[in-house]
Amino acid sequence: MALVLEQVLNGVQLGVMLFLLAAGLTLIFGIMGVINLAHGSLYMVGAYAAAFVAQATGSFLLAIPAGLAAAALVGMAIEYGVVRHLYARDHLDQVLATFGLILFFNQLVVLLFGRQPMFVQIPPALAGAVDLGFFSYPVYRLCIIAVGLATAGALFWLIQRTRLGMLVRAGATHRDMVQALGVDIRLLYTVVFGLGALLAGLAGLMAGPLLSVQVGMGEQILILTFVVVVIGGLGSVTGAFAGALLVGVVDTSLRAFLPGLLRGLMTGSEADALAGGVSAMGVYLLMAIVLLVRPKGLFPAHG
Amino acid sequence: MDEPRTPAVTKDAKPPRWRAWAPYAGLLALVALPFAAQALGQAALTTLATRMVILAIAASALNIALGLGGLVSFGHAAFYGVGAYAVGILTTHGASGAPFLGFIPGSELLGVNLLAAMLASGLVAGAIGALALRTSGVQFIMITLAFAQMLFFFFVALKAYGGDDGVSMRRRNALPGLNMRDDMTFYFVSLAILAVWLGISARLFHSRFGLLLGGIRQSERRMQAIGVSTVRTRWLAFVLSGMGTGLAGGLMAVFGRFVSPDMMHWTQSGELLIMVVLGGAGTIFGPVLGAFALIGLETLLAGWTEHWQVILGPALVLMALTFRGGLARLGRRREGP
Amino acid sequence: MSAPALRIEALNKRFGGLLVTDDVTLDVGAQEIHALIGPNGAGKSTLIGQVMGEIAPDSGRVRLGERDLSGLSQAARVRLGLARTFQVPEVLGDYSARDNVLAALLARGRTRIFANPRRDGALAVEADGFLVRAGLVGRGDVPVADLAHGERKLLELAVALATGPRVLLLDEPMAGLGPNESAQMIEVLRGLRGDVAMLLVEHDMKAVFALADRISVLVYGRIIASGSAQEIQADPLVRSAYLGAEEARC
Repeated sequence: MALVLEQVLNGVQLGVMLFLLAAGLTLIFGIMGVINLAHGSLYMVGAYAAAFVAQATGSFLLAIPAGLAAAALVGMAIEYGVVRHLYARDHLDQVLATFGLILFFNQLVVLLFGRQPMFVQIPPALAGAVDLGFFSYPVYRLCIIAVGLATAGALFWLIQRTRLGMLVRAGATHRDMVQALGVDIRLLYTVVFGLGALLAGLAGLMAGPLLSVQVGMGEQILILTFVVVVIGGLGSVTGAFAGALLVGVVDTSLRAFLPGLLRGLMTGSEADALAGGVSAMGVYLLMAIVLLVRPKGLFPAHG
Repeated sequence: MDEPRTPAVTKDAKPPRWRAWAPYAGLLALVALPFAAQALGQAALTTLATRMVILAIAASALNIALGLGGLVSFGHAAFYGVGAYAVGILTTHGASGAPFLGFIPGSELLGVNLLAAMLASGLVAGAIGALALRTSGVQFIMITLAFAQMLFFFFVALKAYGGDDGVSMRRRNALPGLNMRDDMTFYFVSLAILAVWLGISARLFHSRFGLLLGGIRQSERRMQAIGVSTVRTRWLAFVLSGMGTGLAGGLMAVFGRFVSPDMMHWTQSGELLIMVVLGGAGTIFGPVLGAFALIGLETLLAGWTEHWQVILGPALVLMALTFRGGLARLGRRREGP
Repeated sequence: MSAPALRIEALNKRFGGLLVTDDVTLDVGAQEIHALIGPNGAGKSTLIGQVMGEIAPDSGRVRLGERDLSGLSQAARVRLGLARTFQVPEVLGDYSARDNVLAALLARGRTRIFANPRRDGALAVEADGFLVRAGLVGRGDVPVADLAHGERKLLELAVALATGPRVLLLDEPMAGLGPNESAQMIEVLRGLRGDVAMLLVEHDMKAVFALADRISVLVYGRIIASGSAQEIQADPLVRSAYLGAEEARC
């Protein structure tokens, strides 16, 4: 029982990380109609900037603003320099341009930091585990869950209750009307893109101490984020939240429990091999099922 | 007849003369290439050209879905890889004598294995297409990418066939009467397959199917209103496209005597897309030009610096932002508004 | 009197809380032009969508001749003899005018799989025939991108005719046309009278009075009156509802 709860918490932790990426991706698509493959690069930028500052200064507190700022700035630069010129283009041009950006950023990181992964220590204040009654759980992971949920709450508040959110919601469907209201839509787009980048950077810097910070980390999670967005429904932040938690929990549980279940049915090595394959494919099969039942995702954005 | 605002385009649409000769000149150059390479003592050039030719088949196959059907698939590396694995697995079993799955006999014959590669990739494309085509636009891009990644993980986990390390084959598949170990022979076999493939695809482009598929790309609603089952037509295009890509993957596996999950890495899907767009989506020869140009550029840059992607990346961004129509449309009248 | 070519029976459709088709019953005789008029948002295009099978009705049925079309795909309905045009022309922008018509002929499955239909002389002659019937003489080779709006409307008509329809659903054929173009469209439609039954959705009352054998008035998804031009013009209910709605719109 404790093991199950622990794995559920691990799943939620992966889920909130995916949400931070999926929310940005889906907002950027919902409002500007752009598919941004380089969203994973922003995650990587956040992770590297934070890792670099943490290693240089020894302070995780300084690493946090560094990671956030780097991701947001790079994001806004991308919007200003590249993505802005792609709004009116078809998705193919957007895919190619942002694919080019991925190649560039990945190789740039190799140039600057080499191919060896960087490791970041969990900040001492957050190291260790906390006793949750009948099992103990790492403090740092709990912190990620808390930060992720708080960010999700703030994001929903921002979209539902503020003027920026109103513009964001209106801008998605009535681009011309928003412009007619005298809102600088280009600035709005840059701000939204920067916000998406900030969320990606947040996910990246939090992931640093858990995973190794390395080239290609962005794309690994990006493709998983695509699965989240397809399951949740493109353009819907609610869908991104539901999809992210679902994918996080399913992925983690399959990896944790499938080998044990299969070992009851066959020999150990075969069971491990099969379980490895099925659990790696699990969330994609989940996506296939959702597509069969609800092609527009669980929470379709418009009709 | 009164023609108040007949535009000039119908009259001066004739392309310049060199365009008509360009494909023949290109073919001649391709035939002459290995002899020139040998004369210059650059045997590696033939190997490079073989890779280009094989990828040209893959790009041309993707073009059926992308250029003609307007289906932006970011998952064609999956079909490329499945084709390659079909060859790799059959060849392994052909060498060992033990049948695959206990009842499918292995083979070391090129013709048999390439057919198997097309069949396998066609089946996979059929399944992925049936799901992905329930959506369109950005979702379609994401879903094709995701399913390709799923297959990538599947083959990584497939320890029976090498997992991460892939499958190595002891010798190239045989084509009776030819010495396939000779790189020049293999080059010409590949070139012949490319030529046949281009011939088929040209017929397809100008067939009833091609005309209707192109119509669906332009307006799905219009085509439904004249009674076309648009989903079925698209699906068929996706399957044909996947089969061609699988053929290329199979050929590449024979050429390198090696298959690994890396062949279906997502960047491979991206590169195929670039080849098609760079060369000219929707044209017959464009993807071939694109494959040669991209591989050529990559080889040049890689010879210059290890970090060539720092240059290639921005070049792609620039291409996407400014370059319309592709290499194959140079010297042709701009189409559409 | 012969049996109607098209019958719409007690059709209902609700979008969210909005009843867009409210118990609509309507028929079109085999030789008839039946006009459907009504203010914007009355549900005319939605009705066409339901007849074609693009939108599924909540209840009710559509018959083509005696055949019940319920549950049939759009492709199947076209094969049985339904065709439509769009309010905003849906044409194939990269193709020539002739290729647009060719697509409709090919959709009926009239060529060998690998033959090049653009090189098929008989097919081209057939396609040009439809262009001529729609008033597009000598325009077959012109790219659609270079056609004027009025010509695109005519092209849509040629494409619809090429599917070999028994019933033609025309969604505002006059929309966006200038006076000369309207006159030409009216002339073309008049030329088709008797060959194909037509359900004519239209705002342009001049065209309606010039063409229609019968007129039905649709307001808020409901048919409020049906009859000859004189009867409709005299109907007090139509005058108040229709004119009232028109005023409210401004």
